[in-house]
Amino acid sequence: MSYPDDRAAVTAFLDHRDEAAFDVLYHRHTPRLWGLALRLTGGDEAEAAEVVQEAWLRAVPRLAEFRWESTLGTWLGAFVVNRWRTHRRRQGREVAWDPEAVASLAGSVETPGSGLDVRRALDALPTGYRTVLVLFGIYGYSHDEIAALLGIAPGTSKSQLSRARAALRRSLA
Amino acid sequence: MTDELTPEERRWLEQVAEEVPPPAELRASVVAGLAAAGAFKRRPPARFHRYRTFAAAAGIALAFLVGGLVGRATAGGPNGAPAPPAAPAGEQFLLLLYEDAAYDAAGRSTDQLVAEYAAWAGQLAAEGRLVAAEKLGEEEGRVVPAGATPAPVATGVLTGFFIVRAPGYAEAARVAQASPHTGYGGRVVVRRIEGT
Repeated sequence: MSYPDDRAAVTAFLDHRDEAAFDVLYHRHTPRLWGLALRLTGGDEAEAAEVVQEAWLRAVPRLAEFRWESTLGTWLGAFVVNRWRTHRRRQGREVAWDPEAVASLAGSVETPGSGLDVRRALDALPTGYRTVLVLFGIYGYSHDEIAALLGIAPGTSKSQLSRARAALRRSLA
Repeated sequence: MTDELTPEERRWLEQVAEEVPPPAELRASVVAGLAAAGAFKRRPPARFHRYRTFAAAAGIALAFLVGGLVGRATAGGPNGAPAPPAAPAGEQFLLLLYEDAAYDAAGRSTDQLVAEYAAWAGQLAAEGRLVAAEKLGEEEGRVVPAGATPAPVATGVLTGFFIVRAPGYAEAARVAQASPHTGYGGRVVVRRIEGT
């Protein structure tokens, strides 16, 4: 079964509750959610898998509440961010949004420019910096959306982005 | 510095944004979890109509799944997975979860039940107490010798079990008492496993 867009697939799933309709949504969105989880967790595949799984388990029961005021991908991404934050809280590793946090990057980047090196540099950023840069720069969330997702002020999101960019540039210079 | 990313920054981030295929086994885990939570349309067994506990059973199943995931995640592994938590000293106890007419979770959504049971299972796993947990099949099962009358230790439907480690009956009972199951009127029978 194919559906022209997310709304059609969601409607089909809600109407019939069949696995095939869910599969369409899963295959359409999981690569992006997986990428987001990987970047949030700093490349920890085991944790990213748990985060994405938990995100789907919590998002699906609430699909009927989705009002299509954003894209489905953005809405699902919020579940990934929330689950990731919950993981960090459980581990006693809540993100510090300290504006004075020092961007001490782990290791050097030998050949700037390749995707692998950028990924290493990004994963090595302080978590707060990386989180905002990933959400803003890769996944297109606005500062207001990031603030709502992370429970911070929009200004904090902006300052974290600014510091993240500076740190990334230093690392890749 | 404005929020506008420079072309160079955009190029960097586009490289990182290239999608990496998720692990193949992830889909199976997600689908199993959703099925356990009742997300897909399945014909519920008659006994669950009777007790209105299908949602709770699904919650238990997902709790087992999440508990198992947490257990695996804390079991240590070749890729730098975290070391397992120190298991409490003591023996293993079997917690049998029963549901009967006294079990009443009518005011709770499936999602809420799932979250509660999953949180409880996850906590047990994180504390190193959880040894095993499974949801039992919904069929009648068998009694031997054939034709013998089942002699359940509690009335109702046996919907699942946990095996936890505890220093004695008192602590094992405390763990059982803390479960969401007892909060909804479900019964938990605690039995020590010999030789553990």
